[in-house]
Amino acid sequence: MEAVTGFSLTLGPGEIHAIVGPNGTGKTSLVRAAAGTLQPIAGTVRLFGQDPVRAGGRLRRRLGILLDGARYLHARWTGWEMLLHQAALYGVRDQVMIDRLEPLWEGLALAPVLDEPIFRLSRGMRQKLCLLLTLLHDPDVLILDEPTLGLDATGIAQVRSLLVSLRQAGKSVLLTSHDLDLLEEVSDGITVMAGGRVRYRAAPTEILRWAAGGYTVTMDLRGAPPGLADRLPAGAQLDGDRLTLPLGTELLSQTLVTLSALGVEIASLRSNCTLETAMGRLGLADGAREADRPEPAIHPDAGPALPG
Amino acid sequence: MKLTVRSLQFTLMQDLRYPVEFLADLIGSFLWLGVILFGASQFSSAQVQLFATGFLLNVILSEPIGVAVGFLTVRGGSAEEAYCAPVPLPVQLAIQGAASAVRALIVNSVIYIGMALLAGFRPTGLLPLLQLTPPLFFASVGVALVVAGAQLLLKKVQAVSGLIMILFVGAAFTPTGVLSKVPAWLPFATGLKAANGGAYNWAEMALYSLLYAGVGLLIFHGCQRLTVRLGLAGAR
Repeated sequence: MEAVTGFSLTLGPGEIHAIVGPNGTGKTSLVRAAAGTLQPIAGTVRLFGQDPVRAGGRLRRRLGILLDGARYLHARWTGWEMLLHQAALYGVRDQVMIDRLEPLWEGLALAPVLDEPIFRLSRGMRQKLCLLLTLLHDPDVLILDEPTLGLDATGIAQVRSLLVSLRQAGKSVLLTSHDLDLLEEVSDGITVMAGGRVRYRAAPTEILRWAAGGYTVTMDLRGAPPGLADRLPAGAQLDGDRLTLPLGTELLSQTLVTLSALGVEIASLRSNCTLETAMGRLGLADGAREADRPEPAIHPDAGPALPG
Repeated sequence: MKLTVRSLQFTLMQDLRYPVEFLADLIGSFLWLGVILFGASQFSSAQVQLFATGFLLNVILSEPIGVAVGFLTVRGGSAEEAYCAPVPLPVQLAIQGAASAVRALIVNSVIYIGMALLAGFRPTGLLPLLQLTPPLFFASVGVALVVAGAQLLLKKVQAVSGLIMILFVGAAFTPTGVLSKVPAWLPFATGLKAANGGAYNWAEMALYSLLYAGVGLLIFHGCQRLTVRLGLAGAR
């Protein structure tokens, strides 16, 4: 069965690339092919110039994978036992493992539960433990399928920081996720898949810029001075202390200049345009119909571009 | 080596962590064997001694077969993370199988001594149990690799592994009349022979054992290659 067709991607050091798209669109097949657990019918996958399907131990030590993570754990073992076992499996000395992972398990708030049997841990805790196991041998390339699955808001924030630190350390990360807020913040590039094909590929900011038409920015001001409405550029609407203006125009910068000149403090600023709404606009939200999707104007190999 | 020690250590730790389950398992095995051997009082003390050795030997040897499926289902669900590790999957299976076999050897030695005390025979059968397990272990791993290959490719083969384990365990009770018809190359034949006080041909045993391991490895590699080609490694 052909799950994915026409996919091409080169991932460099210190780069985070995300694959997104509705369920059943071939994301997991792609990451499995990248990890070498699925052999493509046609085409090639190379990690450091080698075929991951035929990879030897040396290449595998450079690769960290998380595929449907929590299933991998031995429910009756403790988290600590899993870590020690994984260290032995990857030939990592215990002390090296501890030095490497201690800041992470502290950061992920896992330290208090490492001595607990895994079946007693929550879904989120298990997912965090899987992340530790994936990072234990300090891999150069990480392939993460849904790394935030089952995590609460704090956990997602912790994973976000972790991904940023991995990029800073020069690691290459290929990930899939439905958490578009996370991807918006950490990804250098996003490939949008639908129906087993690449629809769009761009930086998250590019996707947002394309999808911005019709969305708004809302600012809550800390005490709007009298007469502010008259001094704002046309198109900006002031209602009490709340200022609303269309996104994706010059208005935002003009308004900010005006507010700054008047010394008006902005208490909060938010936009209703997120990667999630952009995906909805692209007809790529989960459950969207194929007919609702705009025809991709750009072939994926032609570079980062979007229709419109 | 470190991986082997860790696997054994954590396997044994389970018995300490879940003592009720461990004791129930131990007592259950003891009672089950007791019912079979003493239930109808049809065996003499000497016969019990032989049967217990053969029976327990095959119980130990069936461990890696149970592990083969368990490793890829209960623990893994997905074989992918294990597959992506630098230690090849068959080696991981053999190590976990060895850990389980050592645990079974310890537990079954306790059962054997208990039987000896109960039936009033000297526990001399313990020595063949300890001697025969290591060389025959490789035959057991060979069979386990075939089952593991089938598990990777076909999924849901627990019933097959159960069937093979029953063959192993049940073989100890083969009627004396058909003993001569049981081929020596069958992996449970030695246990059967031990249950009947036969002499062991160590060279033959080692040869068959290595042959099983080699053929098992080949079949496993074939199944593994096909699994990756068909994209079934992550399927449950």
